[in-house]
Amino acid sequence: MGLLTPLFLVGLAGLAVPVLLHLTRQERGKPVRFPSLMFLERMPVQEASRRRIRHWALLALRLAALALLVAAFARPFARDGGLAGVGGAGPEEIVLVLDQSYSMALAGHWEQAVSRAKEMAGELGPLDRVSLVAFAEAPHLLVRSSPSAAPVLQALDTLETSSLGTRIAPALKLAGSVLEASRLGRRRVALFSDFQRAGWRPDRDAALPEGTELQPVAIGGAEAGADNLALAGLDLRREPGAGRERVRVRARVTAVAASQDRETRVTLSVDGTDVETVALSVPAGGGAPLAFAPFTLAHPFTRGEVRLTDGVLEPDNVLHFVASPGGGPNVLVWDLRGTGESNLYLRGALESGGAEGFSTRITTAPPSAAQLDAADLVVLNGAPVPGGAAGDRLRAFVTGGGGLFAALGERSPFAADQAGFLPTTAGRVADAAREPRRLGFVDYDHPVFEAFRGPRSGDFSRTSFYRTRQVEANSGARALARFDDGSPALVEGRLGAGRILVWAGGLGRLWSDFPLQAVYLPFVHRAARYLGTRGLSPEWHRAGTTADLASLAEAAGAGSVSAGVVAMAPGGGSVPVDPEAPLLFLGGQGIWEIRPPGRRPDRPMALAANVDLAESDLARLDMEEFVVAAGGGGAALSASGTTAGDATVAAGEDFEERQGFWRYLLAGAFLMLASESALANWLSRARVA
Amino acid sequence: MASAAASPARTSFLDPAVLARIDNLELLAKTVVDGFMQGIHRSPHLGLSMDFAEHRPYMPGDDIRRIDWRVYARTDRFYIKQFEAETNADVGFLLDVSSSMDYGSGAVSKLDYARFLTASLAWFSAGQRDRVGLYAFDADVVEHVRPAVAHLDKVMHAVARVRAGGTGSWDRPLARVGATFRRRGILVAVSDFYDDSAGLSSALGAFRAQGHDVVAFHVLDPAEIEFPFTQSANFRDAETGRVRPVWPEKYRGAYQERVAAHVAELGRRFGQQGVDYVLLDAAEPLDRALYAYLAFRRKTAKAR
Repeated sequence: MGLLTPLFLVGLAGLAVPVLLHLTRQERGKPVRFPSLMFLERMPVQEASRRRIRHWALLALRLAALALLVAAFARPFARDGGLAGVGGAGPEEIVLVLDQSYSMALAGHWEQAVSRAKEMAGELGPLDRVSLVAFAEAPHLLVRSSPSAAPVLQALDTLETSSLGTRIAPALKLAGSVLEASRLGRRRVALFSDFQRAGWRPDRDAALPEGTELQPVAIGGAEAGADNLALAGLDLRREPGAGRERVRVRARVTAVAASQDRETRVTLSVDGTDVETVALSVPAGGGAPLAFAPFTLAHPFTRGEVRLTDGVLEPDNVLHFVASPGGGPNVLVWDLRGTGESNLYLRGALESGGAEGFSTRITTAPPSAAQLDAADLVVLNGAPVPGGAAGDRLRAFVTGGGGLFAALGERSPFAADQAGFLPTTAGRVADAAREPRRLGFVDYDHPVFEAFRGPRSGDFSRTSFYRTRQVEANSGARALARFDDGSPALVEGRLGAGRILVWAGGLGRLWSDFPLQAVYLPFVHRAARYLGTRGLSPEWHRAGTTADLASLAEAAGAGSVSAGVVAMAPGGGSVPVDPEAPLLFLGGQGIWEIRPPGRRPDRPMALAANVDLAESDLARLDMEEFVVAAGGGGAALSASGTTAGDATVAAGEDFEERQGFWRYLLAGAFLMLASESALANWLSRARVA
Repeated sequence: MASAAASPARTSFLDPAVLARIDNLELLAKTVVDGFMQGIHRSPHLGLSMDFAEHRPYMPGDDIRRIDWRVYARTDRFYIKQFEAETNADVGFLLDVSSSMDYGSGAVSKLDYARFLTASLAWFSAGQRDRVGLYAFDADVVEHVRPAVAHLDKVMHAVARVRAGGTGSWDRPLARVGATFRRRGILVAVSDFYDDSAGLSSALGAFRAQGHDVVAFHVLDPAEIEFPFTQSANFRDAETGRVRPVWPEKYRGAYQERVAAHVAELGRRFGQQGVDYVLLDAAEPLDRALYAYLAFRRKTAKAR
């Protein structure tokens, strides 16, 4: 038995108060008012009478109440009984880390993970503490260091899978921060996941603290999801029709882990109506493209859906899109050499994009005001950054929302009066020494490269660059791709409402074999569509990203996002939109509507969110490799590192907190006081009677 | 005198606890006096002097002794002989409003009881066409209404207005009464008489010697008579503020004896001085006080 705050025992001196009050109260009591003391003599009241305690029960109740109050504040605890045995081994800080990515929606995986987590929480020792972290692309700490399993069990009952991908490293980092704040000697992280290879990128910052035991709990077998079919590469190609814009929807079905060819059916539905169903055979370990017959795009914010019937993982069986009439971007290419070999491949790529609605014009002179008004995107194909009035016009074009793709060539001088216009330095021309340069880093999270994120969606590393411009990204600019020597290959910058991409590798055949690669054409298309967003909005976004509703409203002709509108989530519920910063986090897969609350216009603004296709690859991590990598910070991956001393230090407060004797003592004190009041009232009434 | 066979319903109107609920003192006095007079079957407006005034037909409730049998013999009808009412008598009420009067262990305090009594007697006297006046006092006169026929309202308002306070003393108030109450009349003193009985009786007796009729109503609270306290406590004098520790259980007997002796001494000394003395319990109905006053008036009327 011990006391957490023994100093409060000084309060026991207060037990003398009721006795002193009794002995002194009569002298100091309120005098009785009487008309006259004419007939009253002073009669000494006998001391013995004053000292006599008439109601021992009352006194006992008062003393007991005071004693219980003092004991409650001293916060007693017991070290004996069943709790002592646990204290000997030392209490443990456990962090349950639960994967919420959509791959966990695979048959029974989520239920199994929750069940295992509940099981582990139920085995909590009397002095252990438990935390709960749920994660997909970002981790969330739902319960922090609770001495009871109840909050964890309650939180687990409310969780469900998300539409997002897996990122294990940030979750481990968060779990590590929880453990670092713990006073307990033993620490453990239990990670419940399907351990996809795509979800783990080793990160030194995510290493667990020293002495932490990492307990990976693999959900599902290694063969789980092997037969999964997934939709990938949704692509909408606009085709000019007889006065109307037509859209051809193309996609790909992959069977990455399948051991044999699969037959399946894919359905396209537009505005809730099934338009066409295509049957196709998907080769084992590969993918099969499919294209639907074009449909007429007559209305803004037309919603579509491509749906697969045979995939075992539900979220990647469907891809949504929202399309509006408006055609593709108008591209103005400024090439000093005019139409010729230097822009042969670029023209080819853009013209083959005629099906997507690209309209291309070549100019040899600096773009005029009229040309810029008609263009959504300007490509400087080896052309200089102009100065003077032409430079000002181009700057105003970009600032007003236009796109600029600067493919730096042999002679691409930057005008002195336009310094800072492009997000890079001018840089010198550099030839490769022995081996051609290759792209060593590509930011697949960026919309330009997002289409290449999935497995077998394009390989940039095969491109050989023999000559490049050695540029440096300016402050505020971002390198989206780098050569293998670390120098930037593609740099993005912003100017006003417009975007600028600077490509240091050239777009012609002279500097690289990039135009001969399969990724060239989709890269040019993606970059052109990314930059030429003036008057166009993307057909779909990736779930887990943030959409700019201002550009959506501009594309819809609404000008800006009006006050009071809300975003209606696909699964129900609404998210208020701030007109000052109209950004919307797309937390779920499906169609998001942006409209006034309580009203549903005929065709409200909408945008589509699709799952991260990288999550469809269910290939597993090598667990041993993972455990070693996660413990890279020096954490001992066993239950060692606990000393009896540590356990004892923590035991006092933990014993007290868990036992909570003070509550009972306080309740007892109030009970005593209530009894005292009742008894005193009864005695008082009896005396009067 | 007719017997006072008052019914419980009528008696309740004389109960101080019931009267305390009536805010209007004039209404209270009227209720008390009318109820009381109906109870004893006597008209309140008849004078008792021997000066004949007129005849009037007999009405049920009239005293049959006052039927004029001679007229009956002549007319074969009952007629009552009416005499001149007792007019022109000054009635001065001496109301003690010292702090000791502001004490009550029950529904009404001594001062409230004295207020009810004074108001009722004033109403009664005004009904006799007496001139009513008031001297409310503690150590000095705090409210004075000169006796006059039309001053009943003033007396009522003054009685309702006075508040208890201050130390009680009879010297200065009686000197003031002696200076202003010159015509022969009636003095009604209502007090708890916490003073020396010899001094009191001689002071009031002096008025008797001047030809005034004097009646003293001694109002005490039941707690002052019985001293029912049980707990040892400090007792504080309401007038002087002095505090004395008292053990009531031990001292109750001695206290009661002292009070009884004081009451007996007052009765005896007032009797010697020709002053009528009536002891009243503040918890008892007003009947006894009214009977006593009626008897007093009858006696003083005969004496005249």
